[in-house]
Formats: sequence, structure tokens, C-alpha cells
Amino acid sequence: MSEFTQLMVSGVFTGMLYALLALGFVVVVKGSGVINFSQGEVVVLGAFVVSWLLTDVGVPFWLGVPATVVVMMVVGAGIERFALRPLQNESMLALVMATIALGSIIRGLVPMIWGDGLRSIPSLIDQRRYEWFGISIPTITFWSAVMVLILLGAFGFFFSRSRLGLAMQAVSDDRVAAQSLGINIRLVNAVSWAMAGGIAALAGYVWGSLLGVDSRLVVLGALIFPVVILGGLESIVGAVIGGIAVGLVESLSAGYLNDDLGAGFSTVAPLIMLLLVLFVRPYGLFGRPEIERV
Amino acid sequence: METGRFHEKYAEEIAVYGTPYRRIWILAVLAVTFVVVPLVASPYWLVVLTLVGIAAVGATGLNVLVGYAGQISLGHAAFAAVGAYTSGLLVSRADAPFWVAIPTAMVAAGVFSLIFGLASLRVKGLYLAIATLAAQYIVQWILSSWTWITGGFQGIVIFEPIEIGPFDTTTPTGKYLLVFITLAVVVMFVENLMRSRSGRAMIAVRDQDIAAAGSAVSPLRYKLLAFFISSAIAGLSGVLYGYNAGLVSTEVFTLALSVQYLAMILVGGLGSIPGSILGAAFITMLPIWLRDLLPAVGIELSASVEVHLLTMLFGVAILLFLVLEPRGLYGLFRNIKDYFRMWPFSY
Amino acid sequence: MKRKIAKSVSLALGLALLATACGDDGGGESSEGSSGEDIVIGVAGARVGPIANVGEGVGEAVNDWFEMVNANGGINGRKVKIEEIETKYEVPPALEAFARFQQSGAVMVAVEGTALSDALTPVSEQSKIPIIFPGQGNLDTLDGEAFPYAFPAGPLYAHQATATVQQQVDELGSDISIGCVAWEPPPGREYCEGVKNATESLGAEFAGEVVIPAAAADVDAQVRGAVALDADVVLHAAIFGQAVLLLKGLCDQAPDLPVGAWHWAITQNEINGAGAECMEGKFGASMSTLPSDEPEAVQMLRDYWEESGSDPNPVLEENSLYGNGLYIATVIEEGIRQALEIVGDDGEVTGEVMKQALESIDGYEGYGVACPITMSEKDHSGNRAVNIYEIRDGSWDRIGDCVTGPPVSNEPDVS
Repeated sequence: MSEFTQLMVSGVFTGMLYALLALGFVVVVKGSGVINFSQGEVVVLGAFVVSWLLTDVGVPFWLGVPATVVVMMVVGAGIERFALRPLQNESMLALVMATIALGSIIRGLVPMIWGDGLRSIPSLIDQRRYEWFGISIPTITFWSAVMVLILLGAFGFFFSRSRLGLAMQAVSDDRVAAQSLGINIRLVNAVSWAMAGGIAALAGYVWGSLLGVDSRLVVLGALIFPVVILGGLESIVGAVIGGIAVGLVESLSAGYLNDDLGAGFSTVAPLIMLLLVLFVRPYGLFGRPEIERV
Repeated sequence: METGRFHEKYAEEIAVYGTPYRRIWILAVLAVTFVVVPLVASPYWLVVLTLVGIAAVGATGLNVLVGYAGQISLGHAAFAAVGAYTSGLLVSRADAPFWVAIPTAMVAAGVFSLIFGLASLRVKGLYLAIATLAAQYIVQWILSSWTWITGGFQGIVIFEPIEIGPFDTTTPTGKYLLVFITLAVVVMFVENLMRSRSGRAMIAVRDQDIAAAGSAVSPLRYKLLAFFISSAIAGLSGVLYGYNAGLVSTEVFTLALSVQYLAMILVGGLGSIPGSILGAAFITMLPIWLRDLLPAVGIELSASVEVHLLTMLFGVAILLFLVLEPRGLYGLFRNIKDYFRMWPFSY
Repeated sequence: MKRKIAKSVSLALGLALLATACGDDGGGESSEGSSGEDIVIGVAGARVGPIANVGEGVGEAVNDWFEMVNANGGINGRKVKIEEIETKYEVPPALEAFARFQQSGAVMVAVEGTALSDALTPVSEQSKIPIIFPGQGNLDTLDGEAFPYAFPAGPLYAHQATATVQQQVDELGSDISIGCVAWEPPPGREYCEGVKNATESLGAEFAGEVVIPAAAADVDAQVRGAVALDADVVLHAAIFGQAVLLLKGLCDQAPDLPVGAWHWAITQNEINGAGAECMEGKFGASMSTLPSDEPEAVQMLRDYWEESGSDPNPVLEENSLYGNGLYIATVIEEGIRQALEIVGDDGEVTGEVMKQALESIDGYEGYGVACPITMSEKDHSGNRAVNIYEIRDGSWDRIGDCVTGPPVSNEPDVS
């Protein structure tokens, strides 16, 4: 039983980390309708920037992390301005292709600036794990989960209360209608990419602290997809719940199923769940149902 | 992106040679491909062209699904893997002749893809992309964990070379001919498919599925058909891959390959067969071209810097290309053609 | 206006592309072998992708080594040209790179990564150019008669495992149980298969295997699984982030458990990632003598850098896999020397000569970098020996010299 509780708890907390990766992706889909294949690379860039600021420049944590968020917001907005805006009226697939190209650019750029070696991010708290009621959680995982919840609250407020947030909601509902009502689509696009950049900075900090900072962190990009498909491509709450679901399935199947079905079943378990979800609820657990089936 | 065929009369639609010149063009292309190149090209260029040809087969297959039927797939490398392993195992374990193994492999890849194709009946666009992405991971997992299928952790399946008289797939020329004969057959098949009811039905489903259903064109049937054909061709490219390298292993058919197929048809031009081939050539040769370009313009860099610079330039080139010519290489080709046709009054 | 510029630029781009595609056709006469001139060696690099640190260590070391060899007058007066082409650990670029090497007249190709060494094995045989891939690759290639042009020339994954088990049994006695954590892709599984094999043949107990999926970003469950094996020693074959996570997890949950690793996971990466404190006392196998032991080869490089006034390559200090690169470089050098024995100093070296030359390497130690390497027409293994290093005070301390474990059950008989 305690094994089960532990697997559940670590599944939920790991799921929050996945959600952090997925949030940046979802914000871009919501704001600009682009499936961003380069979010993994943007996270890597964030991780390198934060590690560079904290170790090489020697900026303290409370300044370094917010500074990275600002830098990455500028980067995000820059990507929108210089890579995607010229393609504004082209097909969706051209935009997807552009993000693939962007990914390649960042993958080449990062090691040219910071070299090939693995870098580390100094940890803020000495204690590495919390032990509560016999359940242990890595410190960094715990605080990241707290951060995800705060972000979630902030986004909830932003999208339901602020003028810009409402504009973004409108754009994600119907771009043409929103434009005809005088909403500035370019601004919405730029803001959503900037937000994605900022989230990527946080994700880079968290994942970099866990795994070390290295260009091979780009594999994180592939973890986004099961999360967003479970949660729905455009739902922020969905991203968090999808993340938790993936974390749980992974943790439980790693704990109980591996030996019976072949090693490493926990990687594909969320994907099989994904397929089942597609058949039962095609637009994700929290996606917007569109009556378009035939 | 412009992805259609804009014929106005049925006769135009079914004509093999749209204009008399087309017959000459096709004969010329065939002559160059099968006579001139094997005689003239160096072994190195035969190897590069073979890689282009294999990619072109896969890209043409994907174009049937994406360009004509309007569905999307990020799992084509997985379907290629199913084809490659089916054919390789049939030959090496069951002693089947290659002419039995290859069609069986194509059917296996096609049938396997239907599991994911069924999702296309429920979901559209990007959700479908992600369902097929699942195919990619699931196949990779099966290959690396079910050793009773692949015969070992490395999952190596050896492809015995095909030798018929002087034709021998251990030589660069033999591989080149095998791949380009297959490509020619695939191109002919897809070209004919698009002149048939099935092809037009796929286009109808892509453009407006509800209207198609209203015209007695079953979206269910034609989406699944497109998935089947497209993946069978992907499976064929997996088989060619095996004959080219001489073996396949678990680490070959990765997500990167699936994304590359997609990049090829996007760069080449959606819904265009010459586009698929041009795109395959572009994506395969661009890294080589960039690599040779640097020393040619006098840039000498240390290996570690050069590697990353090339990765970056690859992205920059694709991005520039998208911005400057969003209709793909085939669109560019048509522009150039029109420019010279109108000359000297081109503007 | 803008549209027109765009069109002409893309027109130019397309035409330029066509021009290069065709233009090179004529210049492609492949020179078969080389006599009296530079000897060309290909390196199929993997500096980008999942084994980037291996690619960097090997690529830098091989380039540095032959820069030094050439500056000192070459091998018996013959200069060596290293041609490195990046593959990103993907097979189609590797096939292209191999064809390019062949066109440049390369007589041997060094390959990094099992996927690539597997994929190039048939082509190397068809074109009669040997490939070497020390420290990786699959067990079948040991058999020189089955795979005449493939040369592992060093300990494979399973050998690293059996040797590490041997060293542990030597140190702790055979009354121990050993668990294994495998990285899901083939190399990791082969490593654990080797651990299982060796424990059985040495009379120790195999506590079980835990698998880390290739794409897992969280290994908490696997860490608990490894602890639950209740083994006296845990060996692991994880790489990069997963290795870091696993080591951190084991440090937290079982701080006293002895943990060992294969040669890709006792590098500076793990020390930086998991922290020096956690890595203290961890041990691992290395097919080469680590640069920090200052073998003769490293001293030669340092002398060369000092004489020529160039800066020492920082990778030497930063990436211990540079040692594996020196292993490969010295094997290449010895192969060329043996080839020149066969054909004479000005003779024509071809791939076939190189194969013969590699098969006549006998007891070669690569300027202190390698355990004695011996190959024959039947046996392409080179050696099955590794050095075992333990991390003490943040640096590597050699606790086992050229340890060889019991044979692996599924390896071909090459005696």
C-alpha cells in the first residue's frame, strides 16, 4: 500500500513537471494557433541562459531566474516577429515547418555559444528530498509543482480578467471573427510567444536542475505531446491535468507492469492511453469539442 | 498552399500526357535516370542519389496521405519499420523469396497503419498528428523490447542482396537501379491513382468531407484507403532502406525520420509528385551542400564549431525558403519554367 | 517589388543548388588506395545527438593526435589525413559519409555509435574498407570470418559488464549479489545481459534487472526498483540525464550502496550533474587509460602543444572520453604502421591491406592508453579488458588494471 501511495505521489509531482513543459506549448496554440515543434529547443535555450547567469555571471537566484524569464520573453517575441510573422498568411503546415527549422537553428546555436559540455545549475536548497508520512519527494520537484500551481492561478486570472487575456481567448475561439472585431492579432501572437518563452525559462531552470544542462535536453520536447493530447491542445487546466495523468500512468506502470509486458512499457503506456482517449474523447479530456466529425 | 489539380474536363483529368511535349519530357527523364546517370555518375553520387530515391519513395507515399487526402502523419518512419522488418524477417527466417516478402511487407505496413488511421475518423488535423506520433513510439518500443520478434537487443535483421544475372544490389549501381525502378513504379502508381475515382475521392474528402459524403463518397472508406496506400509505400521505402544498407536495426526508424519525410513534402510542394522527389533531394542534399560550401567560400572551422554551424544553417535555409517560396520547390520550378516560357516578356 | 526580389532570390538559390548537384559529378574520380601520398582515414562523427559527449571526446582526440603525428613527420614519413564527417547519429548521413570517405580514398573508417557501426558493417564489406568502433558495437562482429571488415578492436558493452563483475568478485568475494539497471536501447540491455552472465559463471548472485525507458524523464520508480533488488552492488548502463537522475536518486535513497557504471557514465558529466559528493566512491569501467592518469600518449600531446606553442585542447581536461579517442587514434596509427610494414613505406595502402594490417596487431598498448590489443583473421575483438576507476576526492583512482571477465554466453567462439 505504501508503495502504491509513493508511486501515486511521485507520479503526480512528476506530472506537474511535464505540465510545465506543456504550458508553453499550449499558450502558443491558444494565442497564435501554431503547433510549435521547437518548444523543446526553447526550453534548452532557457536552461542554458539560466545556468550561464547563475554560474558564469554569478547572479544570485532571486535575480537570475526572473532575468532569464525576461530574456526568454524577448526571445519568444523575437521568434514570432522574425520567423513566423512573415509567414502569417501561409498554411498551417508552413508554420509547423518553420518551427521545425527554428528548432534546428537553436540546436546549432546553443553549443556554439556555450560549448558541448554538461553544465549544472546551483541548487537553492541544500536539502534534496522532503520526507512526509513515509513518502519522499525531491525538493526541486516539490517547489516546481508549487510554481506550476501559481502559474496556473496567474494564467487563470489573466485569461478571464485582463483585457489582453480575453482578447487571446477570443482569438483562439475564432481568429477571423476576432480580427473583424478589431483585436490586434499581431499583438496577441507576440504576447503568446513571449509567454511561451517565459514559461520555457522556468521549465529550463527546473529540468536543468534535475538533469543537468546539455544540448541533449531537447528530447524533452517529445514529452509534450502525450500531455497535450490528453489535456487538449488549447486548455491550460488540461495541460496540468494531462501532465498529472501522464506522470501517474508512467509511475504506476513502471512500478507494476514492466516485467510482464516487456521492459520500458512505462514509456508507451501513456501513449496507449492517448489512443484510447482519442477514440473516446477525440478533443482531449478538456479540449473544446468541435462538431466537425463526419 | 496550393495543393490541387485544376482540370476542367474529364478528358484532361484522365490524360496521361497533358501536352505532346510531356511525352518527350517523360522519356527524357527516364533516359537520364536509367541510362545516363548509371553510366556517368561516380559511385559517390550514386550512393547519394540512392539515398534521395529511398527518401523520395517515402515522401511520395506520405504525399498521398497529406497532400491528396488531407490527413497528417508523424508516424511514417514507424510504418517504414514495419515494412522493413516484415520483409527482412520473412526472407531471413522463413526463406521467402524477395518477390513474396516485399508485397507482404507492404500489406503489413498498410494494415498496421489502419489502427492509427481509424483515429482519423474521429479526429482531424493536429490531433491526428499526435495519434500517429504514438505509432512512432509504440513501434520503437516493440522493436527494442520484444526481442523474440527482432532476434536480439540490437534488432539486427540482415537483408540478403538480390542478385539476378548482372543485376546485383551489393554494388552502388545495383542499389541505385533497384531504388529508382521502384520509385518509377511508385510514381506511376500514384499518378494513376490520382487519375482514378479513388484519387479524386480522396481530394474531395480533403477539400470538404461533408460535401463529399453528400456526393456518395464515403470519407471513412477513402481516408482509410489513403492511410493504407500511403503506409504501404512507406513500408516499401523501409524495405529499400534495408537493401541499401544491407541490414536494419532498432535505432534506424526514428521520429527524426518521420519529421524529415514531412519536411520533404512541405519543402517540395504538397500534393505534387515531382515536389516529393525534389523535396527528398533538397532535404537529403542540403546538409551535404552546406558542408561543401563552407570550405569553397574559404571558411575553415574546427570540426566542433562547423558541426553546430551546419545544424544552424540547415534551419536558416529552410526558414528562408519558406518565407521566399512558400509554394515549395515545385512552385519554384514552375515559376522558373513560366519565366522562360514568357521570355522576353516575363515580368 | 518585394515579391519580385523574393522570386529572383529563390530562383538563384534553386539554380545554385542544381549547379552544385551536377557540378561535382565530374570531379568524383575515386582514387583506390594511396601510394607515397597522404593516407586518408574517415571518422563518422557523432558530435550531435544522443552520444554527443562520446562524439566530442573521440573527434577531438583523433584530430589532435594526427595533427601531432603529422607535425612530427608522419608515420614512417607518410602523413595521415583525418576526414571527419558529422552523422548526427543517423544512418542515411552515415552511408553518405562512408561513400564520401571512399571517394577521398580512405583506407579505414572510425565509427562512433552502435547504430552506425551496425549500419556500416555490410557496406564496409562490399567496399572492402575496414571500419573500427572500439568500445561499442554488437557481439557478432567479434568473428572476423563472419564480418571480415568490422573491427570492434576493444571491449564491447557486455565485456565492460563482465570485467566489472569480475573486479567486484575479486574484491568482495563471490558471495555477493549484483543488480543491474539497464538503459532500454540495445547497448544498455547488452550490458545487463553481460552482468547476468558473469554473475552466473563466477558463482555470484544476479539480483535482477531494472529497465529505464529510452525517453523517461523521471526515474524515481526505477531508483526504487534498484533499491528493492536488495543487491550488494548495483551496476548501471544509463547515459546523460538519466544517469544523473539515477545516481542522484540512489545517493538519496541508498547512500551506502556501491554503484558502478559502464564507460559512458563515469565522466565529468555525471560529476557535474549529480554532484561530487554523491559521486564519491562510485566506480566504472573504461576501455582506455583516463587522461588524468597522464599516460605516455597524453604526455606526448602536451609536449607537442608546448613545443608548437599552441593551447592545450580543453576537451582533454573536460571530457574523460577523450581517452577513448586516444585509444582509437593509436589503434589507427598502429594499423597504418603495420600496413606500411606490409607494402613498404612508399607502397600503396588499400582497405584490404589495412584489414590485413589490423589483423597483425599483436600486444599493442597504444602509448599506455590501451590494454594489450591483439587481433587475428578470426578474432577481431582486440581485447576484452577494461580499467576500473573509482572516484575519490573528486578524481579518478584506478582500482583495477586491464581486468577481463568471463566470456559472455552469446558471443561467437573466435579462439
